[in-house]
Amino acid sequence: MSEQFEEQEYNTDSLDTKLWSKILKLLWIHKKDLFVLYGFMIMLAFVDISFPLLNRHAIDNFVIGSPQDNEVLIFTLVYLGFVVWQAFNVYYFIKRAGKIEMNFAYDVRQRAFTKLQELSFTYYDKTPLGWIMARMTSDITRLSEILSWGLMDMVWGFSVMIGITIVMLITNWQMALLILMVIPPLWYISVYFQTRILKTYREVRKVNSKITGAFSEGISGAKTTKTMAIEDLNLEEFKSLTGDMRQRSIRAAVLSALFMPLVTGLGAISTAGILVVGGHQVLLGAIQFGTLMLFTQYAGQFFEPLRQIARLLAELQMAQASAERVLSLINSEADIVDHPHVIEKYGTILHPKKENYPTMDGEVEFRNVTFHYNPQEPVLTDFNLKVKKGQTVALVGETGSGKSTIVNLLCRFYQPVEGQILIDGVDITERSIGWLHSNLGYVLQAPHLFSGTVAENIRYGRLEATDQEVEEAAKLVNAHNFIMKLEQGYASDVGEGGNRLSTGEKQLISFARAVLADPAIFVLDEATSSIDTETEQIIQHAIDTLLVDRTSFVIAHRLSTIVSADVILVIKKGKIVEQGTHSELLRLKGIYYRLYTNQFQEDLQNQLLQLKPE
Amino acid sequence: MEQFMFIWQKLQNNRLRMMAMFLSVIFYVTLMLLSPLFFSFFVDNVIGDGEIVHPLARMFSAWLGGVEVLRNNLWIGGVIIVLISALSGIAMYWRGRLNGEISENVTQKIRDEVYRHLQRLPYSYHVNAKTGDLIQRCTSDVDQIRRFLASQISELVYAVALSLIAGVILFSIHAPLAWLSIVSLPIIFAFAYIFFIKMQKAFKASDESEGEMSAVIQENLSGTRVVKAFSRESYELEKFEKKNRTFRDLTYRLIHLLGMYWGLSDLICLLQILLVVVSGITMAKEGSITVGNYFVFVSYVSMILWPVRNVGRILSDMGKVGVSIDRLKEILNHPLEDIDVGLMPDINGSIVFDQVYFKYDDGETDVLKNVSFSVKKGETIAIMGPTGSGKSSLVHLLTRLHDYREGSITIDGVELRDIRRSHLRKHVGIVLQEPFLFSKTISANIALALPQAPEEEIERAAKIASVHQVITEFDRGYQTMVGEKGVTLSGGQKQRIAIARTIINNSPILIFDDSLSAVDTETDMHIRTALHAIAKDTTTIIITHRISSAQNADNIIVLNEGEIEQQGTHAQLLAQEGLYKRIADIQSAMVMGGEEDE
Repeated sequence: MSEQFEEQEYNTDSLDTKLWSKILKLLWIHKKDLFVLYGFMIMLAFVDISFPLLNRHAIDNFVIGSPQDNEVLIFTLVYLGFVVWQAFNVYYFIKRAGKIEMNFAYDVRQRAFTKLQELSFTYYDKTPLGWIMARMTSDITRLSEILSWGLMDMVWGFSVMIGITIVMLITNWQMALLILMVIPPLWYISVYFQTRILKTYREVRKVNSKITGAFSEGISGAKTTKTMAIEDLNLEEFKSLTGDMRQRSIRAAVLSALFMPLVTGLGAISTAGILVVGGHQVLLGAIQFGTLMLFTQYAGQFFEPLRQIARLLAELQMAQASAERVLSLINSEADIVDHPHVIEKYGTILHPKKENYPTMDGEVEFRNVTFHYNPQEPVLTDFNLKVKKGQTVALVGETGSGKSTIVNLLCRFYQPVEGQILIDGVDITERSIGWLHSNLGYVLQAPHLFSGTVAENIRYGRLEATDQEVEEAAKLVNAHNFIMKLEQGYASDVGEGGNRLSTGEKQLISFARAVLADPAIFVLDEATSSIDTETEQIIQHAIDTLLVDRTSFVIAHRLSTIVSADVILVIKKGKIVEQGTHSELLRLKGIYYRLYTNQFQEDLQNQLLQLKPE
Repeated sequence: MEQFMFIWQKLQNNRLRMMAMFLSVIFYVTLMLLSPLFFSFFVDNVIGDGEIVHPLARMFSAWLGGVEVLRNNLWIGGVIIVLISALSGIAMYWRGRLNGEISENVTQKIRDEVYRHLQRLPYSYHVNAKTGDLIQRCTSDVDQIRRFLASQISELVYAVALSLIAGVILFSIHAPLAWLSIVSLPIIFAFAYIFFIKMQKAFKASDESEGEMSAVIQENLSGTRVVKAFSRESYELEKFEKKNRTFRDLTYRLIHLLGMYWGLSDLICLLQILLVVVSGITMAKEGSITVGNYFVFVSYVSMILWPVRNVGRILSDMGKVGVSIDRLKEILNHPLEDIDVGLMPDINGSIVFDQVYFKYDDGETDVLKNVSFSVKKGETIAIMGPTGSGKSSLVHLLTRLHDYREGSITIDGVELRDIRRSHLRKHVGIVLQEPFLFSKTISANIALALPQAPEEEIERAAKIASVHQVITEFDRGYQTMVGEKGVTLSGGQKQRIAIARTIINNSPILIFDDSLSAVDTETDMHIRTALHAIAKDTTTIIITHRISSAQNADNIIVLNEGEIEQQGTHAQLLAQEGLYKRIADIQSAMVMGGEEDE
């Protein structure tokens, strides 16, 4: 695995402004919503600051003084107005922030997914699936949360602090200083603790995912555990994980438990100061009770925003890695792309101009093709092969010998380093990838189905196919019978990844899918896993049906497929070592001969073993 | 109630902590409420010149040497405020710390117990288990309980204690105003509770749509080849867009509803405060309360409202804790396999099957019928037969993964049923058909049952299993990680590592359950020869499809539909008409030109 996929957790301690400015650009699309939201946050802060002022007014003028009745009435109405207004603010800012959060996440996911469709195979080859999944889900979620709710809290926090500071300074600067004095130590403590707390929680999450992994292994590996009698060993190992988890979690809890008292303690010091200084001024008659109350309330209100801002800064620091990873996905470049003039004629993959697609006959030529994944290990050197329309090519060799390379080149999942691949006499790079793929049928060794119904999965081969055509395709590969036995026939749900069906059934459906596509060129990666005799025969029949009159490339494991092929390519360590028909190769008495005698007799044996003696 | 008992039981050793936590919450609440009271005393009696009404307040001022002292030394008031805050800070600290300790201790206990239990459930349970569902229970259900212990309990206690104590104080100051102060509490509580009960559907809908969206991504990524080969990129994009949009819209709807909730409940809370402010003003004007009293009322009301609102939400969430506990108990109540009961005889390796019948618990017909044969110590026997003929069941019986129904199996004369399972499994090594490797290093996978095994031992086992060469070709050799975080092994490589980890134990009985199927014939032979050379005394049972693997065995058993159809040596079986001979005939026909391949 390359180094770029080593998870970088806290790469820097400072904020990377360049990175965030790129992210903010993505956010900028929602600027209208953002400005409205921030407007509401400022109003929210305004009302928050106003309530203590209203209280002061009440104490000084009504509780202590002797007001007119209508003065109290006006006061009540104003207060009521503020209450209703504030409730509305709360409702509205939540709604807005939610909208921004979801829209941002939606947009970024959309972009990233589009990018994923465009990226070529080499990207998927070197990027672990889990890595991409994490980018698409949790990283984007975290980022959109911070950019919506986080930034919003920050705007509110600054508004409140600035507002209160102004009001306090105007009202009574001595007492204002008493509160402002506490800011520097409080800021320091907040940043220190918030960063530390977040880090500890992140460690806790890491251990937690280890525990989940251990559970998962404990369950999937239970049979092995039993037969090896290692229950106790496993439990010991698991206990050390949960013990670690406990310790770290408690440490995180203790950190949080320390932080809050320190903050309120600092707050209490300034309150005490206000009481002493303010009390003195009241005694001197310099201020009224209400002002004293105002300041004690502000002392309480001042610190929450500060804490929020400190938290946000810590979160931004932690989210930096997420931001980086999401950006790196969005900015990845596909390395197999069509020439501009090809795109002009045939369109891109996502926006094809199908009307310009020429029909494909299926003549294939590899002309002086050289290919390697890395220069030290050449896979194909100056490889030549001509396949006539309708011929079957069988690729034979051990696992990992490089059989799939030829197929991958043909499918243009990779491109030759040198040389050309021609279809119908035209270099495939002169026609679009979309054209190539829409004329290609591909059946994988491990059949991949998508969630949805049986019919939907078959229709994947040709989206506009009618129900009848879908059924015909299924009949052609003998899948119809088992499909009809399913509870809802063609409308039966296949489950995630098709896991409600057996391997053999999945294979048949993937055959039907390929038949429906009616491709000019057919690529088949035969399964090695053994299935029961009956299905085996049905599948063999399906393959025969598929191969008729179609140029086919088969990564072959079955004897009958290989024997009937027009050309057999024997591949060893990435090189074609023998090439010819079955009888030609047998006469060579080379590798093919040995493979045949060793490996394939087993096929026969197995078949025989499955036959029940009469 | 049952659920409560579950928690209570798991709280063992932490019950005192729980008590201490309750006390610190109550202590904290009291101190928190004391602060406004002192403030009011300060305003009314120290700075103001009101008469001290409350007897406690009078005692307090007398203790300090009278109001005059305080008035001339205002700093004493400041010190008292800081003191109260310091004490409540200590209580707050302990509350948080104890919460963490209690919840983590209990969670660890539950996790360990579930894990231990899962491992000791019988083999048949794991054959039918739904992995995803089990993992869900082990993680999110456990976490639900953790959250309950970590915060929900203490928040409940906090809210209840706060409203009770504050209520008592408020009523002792001025009952009519106190009534007015709590009038909205039931409303706010009920509103929160009902709202979140109703919201559960919306939460679920949003969660599910997120799950569906992830599933589309996951399937698209794992099926890239199919997507590309069929040129379905734009179709996939459309499919994803739909799920992405549904998730966005449902979650937005959820947030919108939450916004209404927070807005409306804030409205109720703020109106309640307004009510107290206005009635407070009126009563103060009438002279029935003081400025200080007014301050106390306004402060207390603001303190109580939000925690009470919180209680509604917590209670609505607590239903889920019950469900989680039930789901965990379903696992924990499933009876265990007794692995530590029974005799521990010496195991040398002679095995006798005598008229053995076996059927699965949920099966109707016998999988094995009237099976009798015997193996002497050090012998090798081969078992052949079509799929479903009962080969695997037969060897599973030998490790007591299942127990036979009738007849008798003895190892060195001891009835198998009486032998302790753990003891048996340590002495009977079995390599399963589809072995599971753990995501550890290759070295650790081989030394699975012997974590202390020296390196040479591990390498020796790997060499016998013909996998040493492959391992050394990896960048990190024996330290290569297996699985997602490391190298993906082929079926044959996995089988060979599984063989290595079994033979390293030097068990007197070794079973290969078709575990060389993914290995080519040549390697198969190497492994068998190497094994034979080092373990002459080991009794070996090989299930195979290959005549070449079977032919050197001392005894070959051909199973068909659960019954022994043929039994004998290679030569004997060749001399009979039957399945074995026909296989062998085909084999020699296959070897073209009559050349032997071995």
